[in-house]
Amino acid sequence: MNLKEYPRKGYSIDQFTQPHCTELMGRSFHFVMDGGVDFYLKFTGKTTVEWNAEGEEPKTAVYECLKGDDTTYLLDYDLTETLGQLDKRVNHFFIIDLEQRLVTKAVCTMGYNPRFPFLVKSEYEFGAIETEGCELPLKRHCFTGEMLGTRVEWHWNTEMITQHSYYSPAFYRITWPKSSSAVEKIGDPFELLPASDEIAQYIKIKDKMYLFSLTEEIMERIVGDKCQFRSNNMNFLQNYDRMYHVGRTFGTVKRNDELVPCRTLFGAFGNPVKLDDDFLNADNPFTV
Amino acid sequence: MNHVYDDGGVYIPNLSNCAEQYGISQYRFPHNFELAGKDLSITAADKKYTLSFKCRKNLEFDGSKYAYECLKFGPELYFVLFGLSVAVIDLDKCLATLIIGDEYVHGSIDCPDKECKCGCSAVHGCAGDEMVGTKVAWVLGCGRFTTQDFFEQGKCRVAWSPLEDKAYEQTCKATKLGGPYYIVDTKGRVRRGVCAPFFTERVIMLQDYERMMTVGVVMGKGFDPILISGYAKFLN
Repeated sequence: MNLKEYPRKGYSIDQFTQPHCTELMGRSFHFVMDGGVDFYLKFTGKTTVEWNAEGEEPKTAVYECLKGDDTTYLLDYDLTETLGQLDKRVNHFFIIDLEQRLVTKAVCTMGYNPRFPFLVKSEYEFGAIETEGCELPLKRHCFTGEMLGTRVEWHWNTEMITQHSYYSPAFYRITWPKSSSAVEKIGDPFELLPASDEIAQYIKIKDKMYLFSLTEEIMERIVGDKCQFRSNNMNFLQNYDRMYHVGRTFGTVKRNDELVPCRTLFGAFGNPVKLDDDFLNADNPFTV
Repeated sequence: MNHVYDDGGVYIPNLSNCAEQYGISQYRFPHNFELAGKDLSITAADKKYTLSFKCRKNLEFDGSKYAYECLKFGPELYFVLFGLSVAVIDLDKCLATLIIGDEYVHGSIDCPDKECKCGCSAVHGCAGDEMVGTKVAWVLGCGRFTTQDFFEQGKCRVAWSPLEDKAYEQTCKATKLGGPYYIVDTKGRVRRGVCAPFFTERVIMLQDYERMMTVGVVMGKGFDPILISGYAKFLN
């Protein structure tokens, strides 16, 4: 049979997701955080982790883990006690870098904004991983401008391509070719906006590896419930050595007229791309 | 980091690149170390094989030591290269296929800590003509891909970019793992000037027709086996 006809499910951004990684199972980490409150993770199973800040009792959560390279892990979990509250959820997100013994931690919170309860706020903190017999490293992961100027085409599934321009330390810009299924899958709400610019953050993990984080905040503020996606926070661990990324979403989506958590692992393969000057040079209407 | 001039003659950094140094292994997934420390006993017919993953880099297979590389492809599905041999290990179904030279061994893994989900009698096996009619390109890096046209059982037209229109007819052995997973083993040469090494003789790929991704290895004379990963585009 032509395996094109294989009865596969419909995919959006999750078809090219690499498998969940369980190799941290059995390991424990002590993160010495620059904010002054240390943090502990203990991987108790293939999907279960115990976590606690210094001085607190450990709590359990179900984690997801993907690899950006042989020694760099993207890890996240929702706080179990917030799972039942759609607009009060909290997600802990980490980049665990065993090569440099460094960690990036983000606390992603919903429900802090009374006007836009689904907005996601990401608070980043950097730190080092304590390792017996080794001094703590001086270096840290850090916010960076090194990605600015990068234009890249991401292949998300067999039909969806998006094109990103990283042109500002606080924003990114997105488009797609006319042949991409992005036109029908995610395109409609963008028609309601004057531009596709969206709020973003850029963190350097190591040479050629970056954490790119966007939150669909402008979309939420302007389009609101006319868009099925409600302020997704998308974190991409981008490997420009290998030209792929892995990532996760934390947000809310409307399905069958009901708002539900939007939690997806994703991945995509990259390509250099030449973008139109009109697209690259257009003003960002959302800044002064 | 590579740089390009914009229209005004200003350097603009652009991290996006074609990774010439990696060639067809550009999209190779990160190595996976979950098998380190595991001893697998594989039974095929009346023979037993042991695969002992001593650490993240070395294993023992039937008494001989090898360096290995492992790519994870599914929840508990692994593609392992050791020496010039390949093991496809499915810990979910407790099944394995060993490809040792031209010999295929389809066996079951003794999983004492796990209830067997496969019915115990099932093993990986020949895919027959299940793949006939499939025409697919596997993109392994920026602008680097191979096309496979499964036009007849046991045969496949294979081409490599940038000469994707000039295919060679090659022998092809397809193994079915169950569900969307197939092992495809093609043997034959490549044309000069394509993205694969000129002395390529054999390509073994584990292909997933649900997620449309692949991992595998390219082997030939005069170069070390090259692990690959990539995604698919259908050609028809």
